Order: sequence, then structure tokens, then C-alpha cells
Amino acid sequence: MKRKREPSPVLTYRGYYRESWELLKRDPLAMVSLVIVIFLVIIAVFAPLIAPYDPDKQVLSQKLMDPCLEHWFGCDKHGRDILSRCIYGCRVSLSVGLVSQIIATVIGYFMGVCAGYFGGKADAVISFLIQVFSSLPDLLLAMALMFALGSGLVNLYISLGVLAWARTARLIRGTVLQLKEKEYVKSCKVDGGSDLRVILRHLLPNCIPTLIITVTMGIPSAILSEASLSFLGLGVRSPMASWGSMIAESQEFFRSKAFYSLFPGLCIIVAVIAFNTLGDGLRDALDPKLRK
Amino acid sequence: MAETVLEVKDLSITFFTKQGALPTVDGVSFTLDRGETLGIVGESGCGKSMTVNGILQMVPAPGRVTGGSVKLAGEELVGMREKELCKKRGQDVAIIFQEPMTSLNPLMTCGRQISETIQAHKKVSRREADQRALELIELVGIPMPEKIFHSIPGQLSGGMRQRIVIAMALCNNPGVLICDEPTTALDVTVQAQILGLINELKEKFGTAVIFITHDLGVIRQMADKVLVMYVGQAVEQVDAKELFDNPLHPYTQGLMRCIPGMDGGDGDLHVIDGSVPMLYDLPKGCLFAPRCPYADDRCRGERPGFYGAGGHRVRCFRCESMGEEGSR
Amino acid sequence: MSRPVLKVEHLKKYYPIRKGAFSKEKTVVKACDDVSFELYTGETLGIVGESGCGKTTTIQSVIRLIEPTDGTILLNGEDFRAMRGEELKQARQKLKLIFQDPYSSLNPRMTVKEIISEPLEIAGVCPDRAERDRRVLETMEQVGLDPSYVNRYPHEFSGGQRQRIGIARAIVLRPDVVICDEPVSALDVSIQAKIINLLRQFQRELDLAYIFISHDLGVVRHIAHRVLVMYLGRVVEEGESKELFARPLHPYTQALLASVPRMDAEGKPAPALQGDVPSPADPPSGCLFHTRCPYAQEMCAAHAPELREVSAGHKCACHFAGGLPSKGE
Repeated sequence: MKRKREPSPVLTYRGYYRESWELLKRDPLAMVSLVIVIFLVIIAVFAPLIAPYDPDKQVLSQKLMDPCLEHWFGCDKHGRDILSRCIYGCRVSLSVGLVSQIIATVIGYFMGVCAGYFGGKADAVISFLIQVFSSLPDLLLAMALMFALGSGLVNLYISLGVLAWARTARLIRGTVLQLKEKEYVKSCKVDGGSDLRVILRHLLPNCIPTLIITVTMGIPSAILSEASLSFLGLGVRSPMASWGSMIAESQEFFRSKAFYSLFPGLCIIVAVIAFNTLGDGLRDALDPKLRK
Repeated sequence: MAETVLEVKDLSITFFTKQGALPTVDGVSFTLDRGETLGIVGESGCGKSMTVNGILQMVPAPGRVTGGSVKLAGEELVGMREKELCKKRGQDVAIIFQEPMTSLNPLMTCGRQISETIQAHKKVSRREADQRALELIELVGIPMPEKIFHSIPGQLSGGMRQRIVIAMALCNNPGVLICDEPTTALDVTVQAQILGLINELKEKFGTAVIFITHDLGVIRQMADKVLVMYVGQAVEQVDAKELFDNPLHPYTQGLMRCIPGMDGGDGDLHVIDGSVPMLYDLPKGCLFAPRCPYADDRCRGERPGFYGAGGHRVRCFRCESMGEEGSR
Repeated sequence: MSRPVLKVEHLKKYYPIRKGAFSKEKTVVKACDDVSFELYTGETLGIVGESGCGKTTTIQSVIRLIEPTDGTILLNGEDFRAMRGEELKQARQKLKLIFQDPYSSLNPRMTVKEIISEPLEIAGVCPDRAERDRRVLETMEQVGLDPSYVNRYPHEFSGGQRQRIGIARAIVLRPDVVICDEPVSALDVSIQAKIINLLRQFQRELDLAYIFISHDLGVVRHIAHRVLVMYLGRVVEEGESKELFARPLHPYTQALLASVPRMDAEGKPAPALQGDVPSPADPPSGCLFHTRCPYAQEMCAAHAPELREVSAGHKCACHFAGGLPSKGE
């Protein structure tokens, strides 16, 4: 049954993600922030190798030492090396950002898909929950949760993750509502494909760009929340170093020893701006509507 | 009586892209008299719409008009300042698109949109403009014009919206009306109404019409003369009647034969082999040669000129004997 | 003739709507009202009508993409509407769908191979991966696609080629019935001709039955053996394609045919109908068409005409079918 074939496709398409990467490479701001993000990740992963001193070692003779060649960022009120503490703090911030966003994404995707795909009662309940979670003040809720769970890194992951799911769920619900009407989803159903198949094979791959963007944009807000909670003493347990708790400790020295709060503050600003800019760049690169 | 309102000569549009300079429209020429309809027909991507953008000097980047001239009522548009062009568009030449919602503001009442267009080009009071808008709504055959005047576009059907767009296009009584697939999104019965309306208005005001479509049946009913386009070039240009009685270019012949007719046979449909070449990978010879059943070595080696006399011009070596007219 | 492969009786799909945002009063939109037809092996049934006439609702109810409100659907003599679970899944392998838009009907994140083999996976007919791949390549060859593009993504193909992928997906399981929802409307005429020829060829080779929906009367006339004309959710005329196009009985069918711009006839079009299709939420009384019908009489506004057989195999829902009164009263 040999037949005449259609001529070769002329477009050269290297796959969606390759194409997005090409677009991202053309965005200088996004590339700079990507480099910073990678740099931060390396610092976080290899903190013990990079940090010049033990972050928790108190050397009372170095109490509130100004920045010098041995201690670039100076020392804190207990005589601990601030640079080392910032490096270890990076670990805390990035892990809080990433883990809480992963928790939020898993819950958010599941809830969003249930609401968008099944509709009806499930949609009504989940949409109501989304409304409730997004109308509560984030920080107050996080504080309440941290009070209930007690401070600590794992509890930070959980409370920030649980708080952030609503945003992801709302976006996924919207995306799924659009995808559900696509003809390839219908034809899978006509073929007798199960709901699980539709969700995993058709909806998930098409939601991944949205998820990448929400995770990248969610990390900086999680970092900020962690800093705020730690500042309020509800975050990590001391003596664990975190940018927020370092700023909290430096409060009494705002005027006399500016470097004490300056360096952890700078770390927060750099990390947040880098992730936000990268998120913007990713959104431009991944959004099919902005293509062509 | 033959008063030329639009004269397009050797219009060329090139897109400058990563793949190089792409000749999107290549040397299109025609003249349009008062009250005359020119049909431009061709498949998607053949440069129909781009030709119109070229006439209006609205070629989107990275494209540019790279040659030729466009004379609207004797005035050269190529190279004209943007400010003056804006005045021309809407006043001397108006355009109707396929999807009426793209040219309507979904939040403004239909009447106000029309009267605002009037006020943009003429110094008249709001009251006068509204009055004129109401007349126009009546003119395009809308029942209960007062009611429609105060409706927003979303409340109307596709056919009604297209009538509103026509009313807007006509509000300054333009010399040339460009219709870019105005009925493609409509049902046949509504299409017949809109086509009838355009013809009626054309006769009433002596407007010259450029009608773009992919539907040869519509061309047959609307056009006085026809321009068949293929990959940016005019391949056949002739009076409508002559085109349908005696199509000469193999592409035109193929197009006509592959449409399932209302009284044709039951056999397989005629097909044109292959597919339209890409602009960055054009054949060396005649652009249609790779798909042409009559192509020979000469066709594959060199580009044919635009031959013909007596108003029937064909871009095919088989018509070379008809004599050379004009350049290219 | 033998038993029909698909028999649809009194199919109804009603959508309840509120009359106003605050009103408790409910009414129904009859998107598809009392549609019946039979489809035999190797036959094509065309459904024509303007947008909003219920063509798409009808076929989506037939394949149970939306659950019909009422009616029976017999697939190979078995009650399709009563089927559940595995039985339904197996029955679905016999009933396939080709969509209009070759751009949104293929998942952009799946390769051609994944798209075409999905029905095989769902049906579980070829558990062996190599066997499945072989069937995919064979089907690609059949629809005229180069099998070396098996790992490419839909973006890389033109509209006509994408529609071929859609056809490959539909026929890979050798179904009995393929429903084509405006399969060529988004394509250029020269590509349209190729796809139509391809569909007809598969009909001959695989003995497929088609339901072919189109607003293009020329295409329907060419491909369909029998035709249903729908207006506002109801069938107004049904007949053999040749007979129906040569001697349309219903005034609506006549108007539709008269509205098609033809290449062979010169002259300016005379609009055959005034106005638009009425809103399905607020349909006219009596005969649904009487508001636009040039022959409408008093009785048309009062009584809805039945779909009755006027001549052998030619049914029409008009009080005056066969002997229309003179225009305008």
C-alpha cells in the first residue's frame, strides 16, 4: 500500500524546551540572573567547603569585629564570622524556597487539576478554599502555623508550602480549564482514555511551563517570608544561621555597626531580585502567546 | 467615465529575517477604476493580505515596501509621511477584515464607534455625527437601527457585526474599499447577504473595491477583474469572465479543478501535486514548476515573464507567444 | 441492505439555562432535538447546516463526549448508551473522531509516534512495543506521511500534514465509523482536495462509514451518499445526496443551495434569506424556520411540521413539502 508521500516538513523545530532555551539565551537580564541563581545554588550546596569558618563557632574576642581581611563581612555579637553565616544562611533560604514551593506545587497542581478538570462540586469546594487562602494575610497565617508547629526548618517548609498552594492551584485551574476544551483532550476521551491518562499524558506536560514559572516566582516570596519569620523569631532555631535571624540579631546595632545587618540584607535582596528576574525571563520564553 | 482611483505599480514587499530577505510580494501591478471590483485570489501565504498592507503602507516589521509605487487618486503613498497617511486611511481608503471583532471596541456602543470615526476625520458636532451614524446603520440594512445604535458589538451576531464594520468603513465615503476575506467567518446565507450589500453600496457610491478571498465562487460573483497570486507573484491577471471561461495559467486551472462543484462528478478530486514552496527556499525557475504538470527543463531553469496582451496576462512560458507586455 | 453499523433514534440534548441572572425560571436550549439516522458500512452521511444548528452537538452526543439527554444509539446493534467501563472502552475503538482544527487537535508536547499510538495503548491491543511501532509506521505510510518523521512534533508539520496525522490516529485501530467534524474547513482548497481523496480512498479500502459534517455544501455533495440538513437543532430534510441537491424540498435547503457562490454561474448573488438564525434559547413557535421562510403561512407559526417521507428515502419537515405555495402571502 505504498503511496506518494508528503514532502519533508520545512520548519526546523527542536522541541519546545530547546526553543524556549534559545529565547531565554537572548534575554541578557535573565541570563545574568540565571548565573546569580546558579552561583547561589553552588554556595548553598557546597557551604561547608566554601565557608572560611565554622558559622556557629563563637570567638568572644572577635565580638562585633569590623570587616577586615580575615573576616570580609566582619563578625557578629557572639564573635561568629558573618560571611560564613551568610553562606550557611543561603542554604536555609534556598532550601526553604525550593522545598516549600515543591510542596505548594504538588498540592496546587492536584487541587487545580481536580477543580478545573472535574468541575462541579469539586470545583466549588476547591475554588472556595483558594479564595479563603488568598484572602488571609500570608504572614499572619504563617506566624500562626509556626506558633502551632514550633520553630524549625522542617516546620518552615511545611507552613510556607501549605500557604503558597492557593496561587499555584488558581493558575493551574485556569490553565486546565483552557486545556480541557482542546481537541486532543477530547479525542483522548473519545478513544476511551481514562481521566488519569488525560491528566498525566495531556494536562501535566502542558502545565509544566506554568509550573516552572510559578515555582521560580514563588521562591523569592518564600525567601522573604522565611526572613520575616526568622526576624520575628519564628523561623529557624538558633544557633542555625538564616539571613532573617541575622538581621534580627543585628537590630540593636543598626546605627553603630551597619555592616552587621547590611550583608545579610544584601544577600536577601540579591537572591530575591535574581529569582524574580529569572522568573520574568522564563515567562517570556515559555509563554506560547509571546512566541512569533 | 473610467476614472482611475488607485494605481499600483510593481509593488514589492520584502521581509528581512534570519533566513534572509524574503520576497513576500514581488512586483504586483494593477489599476482600479471608480466603481470597479478587483478580486485577489490565492491560497494562504500567497501574499494577498500583504499586498493590501503594502497599499495602505502598513507592512509589519520586519517587512518593508522595497519597490514600486502606489498612487491613490493621483497621490503617491509610498514614502508619504505617517501623519498624512493616517488621514488617508479611513478617509480615502477603508478596510474590512475577516473577523469583525478585531476592528470593533467590545465595550463601546456600535453607534458611538461609528460617530467617533466620523468625528476623527471631519469637524462635526457629536449630534451631527450620531445622526449620520444612524443613517449609516440603516443604510447597511440593519433592522431597528435605533436599537442597534445603542448595542455593544458582543450583543450582535457575526453578520450584524460585519454590517457595522461596513458602516464604519463607509462613513467617510472612501474612494477605495478593501475587503480582506470579509465573509470567510460567516455562514453561507449570511455571506450572500453581505456580498449583496457590498455590491449594492458599491453601485450606489461608485466605490472601487478590492476583494480578497480564497473562494473562487465568491470571486466569480463579486469581481470585475481578477489577480491570481502564487507565492507573492501575480500569475494571472484578467477580466473575471475571461478568467473563468479561459484560465491559462496551470495554477489557476488546477485551483478551479480541485474544488468540489455543486454538479461535478463523483470521482476523485483533481489535486495539485506537492505543496507551496517556502519563501526562503524558492525554486530557481518558475515558482510553480515543481507542481506543474507541463513543466519542462526551461521552466525549471529560468523565471517566466508576465506575458500577454489585450488585458490577459499570464506568468507562464506556454503563453509566451501572447507577447511581452511591460517589464519582468 | 444489512443491519446498520450505527443507528441513532430520537437523540436529544437539552441544556437547562436560567432566563435571567436572578430569575429562578428555567428553560432549556434544545441543541439537538429528536435526531434520528442510520449509517451503513461503506456509506457517508453528510450533516449540513449553519453555525449553531446543532451539528457538532449531535455528533458529540453520538460518541458520548457529552451525555445525550435522551434517545438510543445502537452501535453494531448494541446499546451504546448503556455501556459502562471496559465494554464502553472496547466499543469506543469502533467509533473515531477527526476534528476540524489541525492545530488544536494534536497535543503539542507529544511526538507523532505518541499521538498515533495512543489509541493502541488505550485499547491495549498491542502490548508489544515493537508491534505497536510497526503499526504506527504502517499507518503513517498509508496516510502519506514519511515514516522517518515519526519522532517529530506537530509544530513541524503544515496544516494538511497535521490533518493526515489526525486521520492516522483515527484509522490506526480499524474502526467501523469515523466521524469527521469539518475536517477540511481550515485547509486551503488544493490541500482540501487531497484530504478528501484520502478519506474516500480509506472508505473503499477499509469499508469505513463516515459521518461528515461541513458547512461547505460542495464538499458534502461530493463526499456524502446521504445528507441531513439541520436547522436550530432539528433535522429539516434528509435524503440521498444526489436527489437532495438536485431537488431540495425544504425552503431552508433551497435557500442554502441558492446562497452558495458558484464558479459556473455568472451574475450578482441574490440573498435568498433575510436575517440571522434565531437564538436557540428563544426559538420561534411552530415551524422553527417560519421567521425567515419566504413561503410562510399562518399555520406555519402555529404548528410544527413532522419529518415525513415525501418520496422514497427523501424526508422533509415542511407542511408544504412537495408542493410549496407561491412566495409571500
